[in-house]
Amino acid sequence: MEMRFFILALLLSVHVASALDAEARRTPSSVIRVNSTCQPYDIAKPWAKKAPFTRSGVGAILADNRVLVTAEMVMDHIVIEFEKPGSAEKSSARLLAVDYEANLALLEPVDAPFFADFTPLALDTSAVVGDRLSVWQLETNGTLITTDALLTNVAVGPYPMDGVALLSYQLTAALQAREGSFTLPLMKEGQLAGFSMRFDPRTQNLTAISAQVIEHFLTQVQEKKTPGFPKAGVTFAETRDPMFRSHIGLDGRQGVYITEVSPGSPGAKAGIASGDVLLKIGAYEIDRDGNYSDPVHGKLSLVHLISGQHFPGDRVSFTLLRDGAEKTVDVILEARGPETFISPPYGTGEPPRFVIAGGLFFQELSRDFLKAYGKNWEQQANQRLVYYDRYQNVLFPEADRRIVFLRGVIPTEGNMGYHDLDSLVVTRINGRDILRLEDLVAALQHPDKGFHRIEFEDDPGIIILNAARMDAENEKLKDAYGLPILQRL
Amino acid sequence: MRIYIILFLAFATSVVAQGPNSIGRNLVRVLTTSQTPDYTLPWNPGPASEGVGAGFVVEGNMIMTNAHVVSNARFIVLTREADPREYQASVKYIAHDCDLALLEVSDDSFFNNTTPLAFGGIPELESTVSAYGYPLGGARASVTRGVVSRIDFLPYSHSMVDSHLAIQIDAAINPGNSGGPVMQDGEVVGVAFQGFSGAVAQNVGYMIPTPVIRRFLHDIKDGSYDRYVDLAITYSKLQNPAQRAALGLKNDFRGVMVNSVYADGSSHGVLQKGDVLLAIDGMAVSQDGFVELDGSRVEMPEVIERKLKNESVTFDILRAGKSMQLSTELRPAWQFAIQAAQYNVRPRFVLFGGLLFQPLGKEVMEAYQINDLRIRYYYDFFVTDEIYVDRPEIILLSQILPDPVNTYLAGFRNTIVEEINGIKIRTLEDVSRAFKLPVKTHVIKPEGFVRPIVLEAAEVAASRERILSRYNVLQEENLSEQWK
Repeated sequence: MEMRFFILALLLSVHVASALDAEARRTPSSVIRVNSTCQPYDIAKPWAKKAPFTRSGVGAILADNRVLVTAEMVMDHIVIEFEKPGSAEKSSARLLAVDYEANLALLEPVDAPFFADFTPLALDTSAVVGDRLSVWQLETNGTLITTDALLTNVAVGPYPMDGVALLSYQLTAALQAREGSFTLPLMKEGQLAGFSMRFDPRTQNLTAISAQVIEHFLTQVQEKKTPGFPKAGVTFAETRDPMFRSHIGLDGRQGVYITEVSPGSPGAKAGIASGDVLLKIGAYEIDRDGNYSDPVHGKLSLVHLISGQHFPGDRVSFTLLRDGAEKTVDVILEARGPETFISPPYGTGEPPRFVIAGGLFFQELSRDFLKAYGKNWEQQANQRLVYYDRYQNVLFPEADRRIVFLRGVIPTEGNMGYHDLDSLVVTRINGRDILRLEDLVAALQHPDKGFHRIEFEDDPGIIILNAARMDAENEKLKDAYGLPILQRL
Repeated sequence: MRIYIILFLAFATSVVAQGPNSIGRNLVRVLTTSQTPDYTLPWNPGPASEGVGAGFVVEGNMIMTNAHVVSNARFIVLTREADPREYQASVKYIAHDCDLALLEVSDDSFFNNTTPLAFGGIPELESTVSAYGYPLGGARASVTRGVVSRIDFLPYSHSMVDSHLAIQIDAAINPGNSGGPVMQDGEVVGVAFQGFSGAVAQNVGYMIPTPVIRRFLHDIKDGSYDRYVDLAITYSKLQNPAQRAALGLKNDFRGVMVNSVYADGSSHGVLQKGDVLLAIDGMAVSQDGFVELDGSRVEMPEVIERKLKNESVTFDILRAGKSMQLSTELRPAWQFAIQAAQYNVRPRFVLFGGLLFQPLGKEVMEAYQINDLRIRYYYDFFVTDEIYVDRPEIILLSQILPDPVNTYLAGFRNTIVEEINGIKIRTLEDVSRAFKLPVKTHVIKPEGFVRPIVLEAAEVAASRERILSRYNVLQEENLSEQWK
């Protein structure tokens, strides 16, 4: 019975499509509108969420009923839905995989037959500078609008998440804003060739995720590899200056100067040291600016050679010049998620951690927290916290820790005298070192003669509170200030 | 955000104020030609400008005015209303930390028919005072009248880092009033010095009260000004009952806690972090940091404010539950100077291979509009994080004069110098010394994860004359703050 009904429906849709032949040609069959309703947590009031809002974009339909969109579309999502162009028929979507570094996500419909009448796209990685690609947008009525975009540059550039640099496309396009979204597929000869991320209407400059990054993401999902784009953990400086070249004995050779090797990074494990000159990665020679010669794109940053062409766990040989002699080391690449940082450079939608005890409100330092201070957060936010965030690798070589700080004081009788304290880094509580919020919760279980002694990096240095009173006030605090929870770890 | 503006009138206009009264003879118009150094061209003397302020005759044939009226002065002209002549004056004493100065005049006839004005006390709230000066320029004196609105500890905007007692009055005080006397019952009760800049405030003017003036006059008695002294500690209030109980304090609302004691400061080796300060010079310190002084409740630093260099102070403290009495000799805190405005000093610098090295300070931060986080950290936390203990000066590679010798170095602008030719850089003198070492290649190690800067000595030598003449550099280094 059900089967018969399904066949009937299928026949009906075919019939309708042929009847409206002229329109069908203009209604695309390989892209779909994606609407997502998002509600991020409020990092300033982490017990609450901000007002929900809806984003809209165009997804590219791939094989096996999968839809590719930018990760920005699914960040903090509550619900995601597909909407067929033209018919506006809707279906709920399910998130299959997301990579915030690559700014990509894969979705699939909750009911599989939803895409029966669509044609999946293949990925075309052949775009080179000078190619004319096409940006696909949808009108409100579902009509496809295509805009020519000239590919002007292929280079390693910043992605939306702080500190992420991957291969990206720069294009010039006279794009119009439609439904306030620039999450749009880039096409080459009818196949997917990239995904737009940002558009500046003033300069008509479109920045797009490269096909190489999309391919990396899809391969990782397909072959169930460790997620992420691997890194070696070394930073380098160019070696153009002839006086510097002769000083380090580099006359007549190419290569870049290693300025930093992060402690514990793959580069450090392989024995790379600052002061080494990196001459080759694998078979590729590195020039004095840090580029290698890509067979397709020409000069590209060595960052792409490491991150874009390898997966975590890959073994890559680095040829170094040290004390005048060449030396080859094998680096086993690792990806680095934001959670491995002392102050995470970006969040991935997870609920923010916090503890409120006796009205004292504690959080862990993160870039997202600092960014809540607005566009000028580097000046507006507490300067010690900004400094700790930026120089975390140097200041905290022990790495496996967070920075716990007193965000502010919610006034109670027990914390009188401390009401105007804020943004103070916590060092010790009741004599115990505080490296993360769990330490704080544990330390508050061990009052010293009935008192809690909380020590800070900056003035006032130490505050002392009545332990029993703090505990007793916690429940009252919930009622008085309408706090649903007092901690989240 | 409160912004105090100093009342020095930079452009004299010709509004004629309605004239005088009894003090007219002793009121002085001060016309200053000054030169403010340009820290981006530190070898130059800087552009000249003119400004008008007020002053008045005091004991000892001297004229009192604000420090900001005669700062960076190259030439000072005084006029009096009753005298058609112009007199050249010079600065005898200047105190930038409390914005006061005393001028002297070589021609004694300036003082004919003048009587030194006497100083009074702190006027009562709501009592009427009169302010004299040359607001908005003009050759004739102006007088405005108002009442004493508030007496409080306030930032003095001339130095940017000092706070002292100041009196707020509602008499109209405008640019040109600076340095003029504020009178009550025939006595000087203050020197007008700054106003309030803001969209909301009106009729808010500030004067330096007589305790600050008397301290200045007292300080210079030995022939030089020694500056304010400082305890060089931070402390916090002890208002939480649990904290008081844990520290073993009585319920008498007394005591503040010492948070930090700056190395190399007056209290170093005497007070300790965690000490509870119960009394200062025998006067009880309340738990919110106030003491009772001359019948009024003032913030604790006011006790130190009134003392001079090498005078001592005694503390009654509680340390780990034990009472004790300690004392220390007071001295100025030099560490704070990095954030203070600089006056009457020549910018210090070293220029080498077109690279300009300058010590970090307020003037350099402002001249180059520096926003770099690392530099801001050194500037903001110089005192708090005791950076000065290892590095009395932070040396910045502030500018690069483009030349073939440094053509690859443009990216190193705004870096902090850690080491040159193996010498740790702690002062500008270290920079000068390091570059004089007989090396074939000079190696400069900037802070942070960047490559070293390399300059071949022969190339630097070859570039020397070229850079000096092309950029009109008058001098390659200046290590002294004194003007020659």
